[in-house]
Amino acid sequence: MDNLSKRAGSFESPISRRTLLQGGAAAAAAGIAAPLLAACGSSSPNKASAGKSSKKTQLTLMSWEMFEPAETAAWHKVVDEFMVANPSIEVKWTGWPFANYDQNVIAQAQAGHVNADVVMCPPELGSTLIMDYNLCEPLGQIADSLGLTPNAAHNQFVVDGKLYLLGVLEVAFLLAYDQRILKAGGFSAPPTTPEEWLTMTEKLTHAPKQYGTLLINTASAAADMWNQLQNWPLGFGGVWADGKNLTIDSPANVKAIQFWVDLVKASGLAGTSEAALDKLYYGDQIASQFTVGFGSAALKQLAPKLYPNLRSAPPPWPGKKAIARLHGNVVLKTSAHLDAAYELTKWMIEPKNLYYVTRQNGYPLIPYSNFADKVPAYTAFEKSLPWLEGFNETNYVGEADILGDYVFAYAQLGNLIATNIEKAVSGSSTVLEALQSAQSLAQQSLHLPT
Amino acid sequence: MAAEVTPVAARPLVRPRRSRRRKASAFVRYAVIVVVCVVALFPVYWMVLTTFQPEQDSITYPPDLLPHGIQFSTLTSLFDGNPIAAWLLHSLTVSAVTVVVTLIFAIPGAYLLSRLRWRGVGPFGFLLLFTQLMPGAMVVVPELQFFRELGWTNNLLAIGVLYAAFNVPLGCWILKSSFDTVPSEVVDAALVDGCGRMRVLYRVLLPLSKPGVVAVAIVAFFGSWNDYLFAAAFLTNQSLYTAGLGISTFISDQTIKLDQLEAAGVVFSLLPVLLYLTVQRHVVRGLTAGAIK
Amino acid sequence: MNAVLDLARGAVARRARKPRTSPFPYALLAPIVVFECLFVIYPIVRGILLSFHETNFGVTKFVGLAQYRQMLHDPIFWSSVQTTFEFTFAMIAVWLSLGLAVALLMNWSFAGRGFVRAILAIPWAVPDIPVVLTFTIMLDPNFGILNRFAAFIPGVHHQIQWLSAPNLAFIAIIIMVGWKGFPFFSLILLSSLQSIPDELYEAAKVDGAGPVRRFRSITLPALYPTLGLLGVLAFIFSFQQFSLIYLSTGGGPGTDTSTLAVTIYNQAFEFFNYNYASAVAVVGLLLAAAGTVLYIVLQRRVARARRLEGVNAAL
Repeated sequence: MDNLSKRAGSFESPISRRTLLQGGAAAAAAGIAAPLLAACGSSSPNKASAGKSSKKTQLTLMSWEMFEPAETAAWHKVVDEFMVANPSIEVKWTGWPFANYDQNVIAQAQAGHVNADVVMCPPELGSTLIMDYNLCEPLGQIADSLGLTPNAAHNQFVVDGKLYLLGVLEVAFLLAYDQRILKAGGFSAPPTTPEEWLTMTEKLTHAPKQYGTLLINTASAAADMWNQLQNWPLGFGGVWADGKNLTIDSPANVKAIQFWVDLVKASGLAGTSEAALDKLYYGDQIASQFTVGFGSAALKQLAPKLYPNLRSAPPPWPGKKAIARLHGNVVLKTSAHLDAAYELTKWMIEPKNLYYVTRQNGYPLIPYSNFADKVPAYTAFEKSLPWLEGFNETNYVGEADILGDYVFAYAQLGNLIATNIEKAVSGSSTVLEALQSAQSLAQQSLHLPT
Repeated sequence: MAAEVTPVAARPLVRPRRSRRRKASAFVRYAVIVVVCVVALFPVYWMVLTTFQPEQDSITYPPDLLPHGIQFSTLTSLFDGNPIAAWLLHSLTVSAVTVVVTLIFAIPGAYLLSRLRWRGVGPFGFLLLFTQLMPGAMVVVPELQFFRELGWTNNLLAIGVLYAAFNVPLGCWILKSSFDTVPSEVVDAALVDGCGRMRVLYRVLLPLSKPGVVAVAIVAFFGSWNDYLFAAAFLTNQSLYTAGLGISTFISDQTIKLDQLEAAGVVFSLLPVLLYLTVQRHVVRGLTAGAIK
Repeated sequence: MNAVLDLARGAVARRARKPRTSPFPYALLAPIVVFECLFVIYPIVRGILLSFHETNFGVTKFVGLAQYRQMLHDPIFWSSVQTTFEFTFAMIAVWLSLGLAVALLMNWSFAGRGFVRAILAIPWAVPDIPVVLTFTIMLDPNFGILNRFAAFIPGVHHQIQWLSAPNLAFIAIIIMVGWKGFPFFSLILLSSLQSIPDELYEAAKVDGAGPVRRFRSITLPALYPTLGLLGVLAFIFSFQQFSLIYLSTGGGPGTDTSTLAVTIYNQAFEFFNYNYASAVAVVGLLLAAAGTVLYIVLQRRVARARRLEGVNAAL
């Protein structure tokens, strides 16, 4: 929390609305017309929506969930019920599939304004919209009004003591394993140490039908590779950066990444694309994966063979630490209907609604520390999902804990590290060389926001 | 005078001598063609294979070269769950607009570069060049900004106009090459006959440059058919999705629908290829040159 | 005094000899220029302006050349420049030779020619995402067909990492991008080939010239202008090429396949450093413009030299 408030506090200049210096028309379009344009949810204010807005308030909700086949129904239901409870408000969905979501939201932000009132954000996008573009309204009061306590993962989104993002979906890493494969291979329990995990991987890899571990290791999926990879120093007492100090090639990290590379090689899946890895995993052919516990509804649909055998365990290393990533809603300053936007945001984290989505989509974690008090059934629900055990024993930390100040250059640092470690997998450099190369590149080319 | 160009059909038939050698060289020709097609289209073969195979067979080791049998389940689930026809229709609309607008500007543009004598040729050429040098990633945002100011987002016609703007310089250069091959005697003869310069373009140059015009149309069509970058930024309304956007929805957070993606790839390339098949014979300069006589 | 008069006389004579500039070309020119400036140049200029600014906490301020200074010290930028030039030269060579070979083939007369021409255009027609997915799986070290064939080569002991090993990844993207783009070049070359009069070949055959001689003396010279144009286009296309590279190797391993287009996209949309990306794009634009101008100048020199050769030979 300290380095965050330090950074926020260093802003002497008053936080003003973003101005474009590219000519009067652009400034008019972006700065002045923006609220008008946002009101119609599109950039054609001449359309009939001008007449419509006198009848109903138009809100636009931006998200990737509309493209998630197994999860979209629950989200739509929650929003539909919001419209029933608030007949004067109409909510329109907009967005893109997850893979290109951030890029397209930023393209809109950079082009002048984002066409939405409420935006669902993965953590990096949330940070960018809040910090770099200063487009968001404080939301802490909404959580307070519901009596909910945002958990520690929200700290990343606090500026000057104000919270700008309310989590709706938390994904957290742990060791997922297929108990059928383990039992068949003679393992009655999941590994609890790195050595055990390596041995198990070697023993359970019988290419081409079965593999011991899934670890994304190709630069074409650098972001996902980094999401998994970033956890490894936690098991060996290392961090990627400490405050402003980059420690990518520290001895602890070298040990950690060497272990990671050994696992990848032992699994026999080095160089295989993420698409192929997913296919194998859903086909019940991979024994373990270090992954986020995302929605079981999706898993049931995509992996009917795997799902009944899926179990989880804390990371098999000392301390059992892993990363949790928070996705949540922000409300944009440019919204013409802030009150309605706040209402929608409040509705989406209202305990009964959040519990509904969590239960329907099988999300394992709810990012509010006292949620179980609000919805006692939640505890029972968690116990009913056999594969959620791992979450209880894992010690979750935030990304700021392993990335220091570089949490604000998360994607860039991750890309650098992941693409260099790929060289260690393909054998064209040693782990130490790869990490040293990443360290020096990061020092020379990383742009920390000032 | 112009060189005597006898059309192919008018040449007298020559009695083949040494027919065995001819047969051997024909055999070699066909062999080369088959080999080239097989190598060039092997990835496409794999895509078609994935489309007609049951799901579990697409990633196996060792990978199978030959199909086990034909199944249509991937195709049916592709069409069932997605508005494929709508996507194709939208792409067709956009590409049609692109072709028309490109031709409208590329024809006079090529004329300016090729036949007219005037002082601004160099700067004009450089202007056209300049439009092609900025990577798409950097142009998307200013274009989005501009089109928003015009109120032209979520508008299929508008995005077609944008694609045309990027295709016009290319069209000018391709058509210029074609105009250049028309013998200058023909053009001069027309001018001497009293044709205005505009008439020369439409009555003389264009008919003789049909291959070039067709080539520009094809390039413009293909260039706009599959775009994702601009379409994703400009078309946020799902009911307006084009083929390129439609394909991107097969990649969700949880998974990549491999089989449907490959199937969609096959289906979406059919239309441009059929179009190409229909017009490719116009690229041939066959029995043209009545004008020269 | 005489010298001045001479100069003046010469100037008058020159002016008298110059053709009257008619408004016709400019009437044709105006709509095109307006169209291009409005829809392309104007937005590009706005994009360029971004490179002189910095956005922090919602405030965009002018910072002059600060982004450029940062870029000069950025090793990733420099490696991108190098990778880009290696890639573009490779693509020019691959596309022109492949396009020519296929165009020659499609120029033969054989039954089903139209059909073969159409199916050889399929690589051009397929959207990028399926192409990348297909190649990624074909090149998969553990499941791909290529490694299955490679296993038969003596000396190959382990799974070749086509997309993750430095030089191999580079070769892989050249193959993929070459495959996707060659139909365009063969289309243009085919239409040029078609306009070479058959009489020239007939005459050469009568003179006893074999196919290779015919190719070198008739076909190639006739194609030089088209090849010249296509060279520039190949340079531009490969400079711009982004999605095929990005989706297959992510610019990796390390930055070995990160061309400028990939770096710009990463900076703008993955790392959210939009102003910096703009600066890199401006430099990219200048390099591309310089490369193209250089190419055109060289091409003119070569053409002029060959014309002189022709004149000398005729004398």
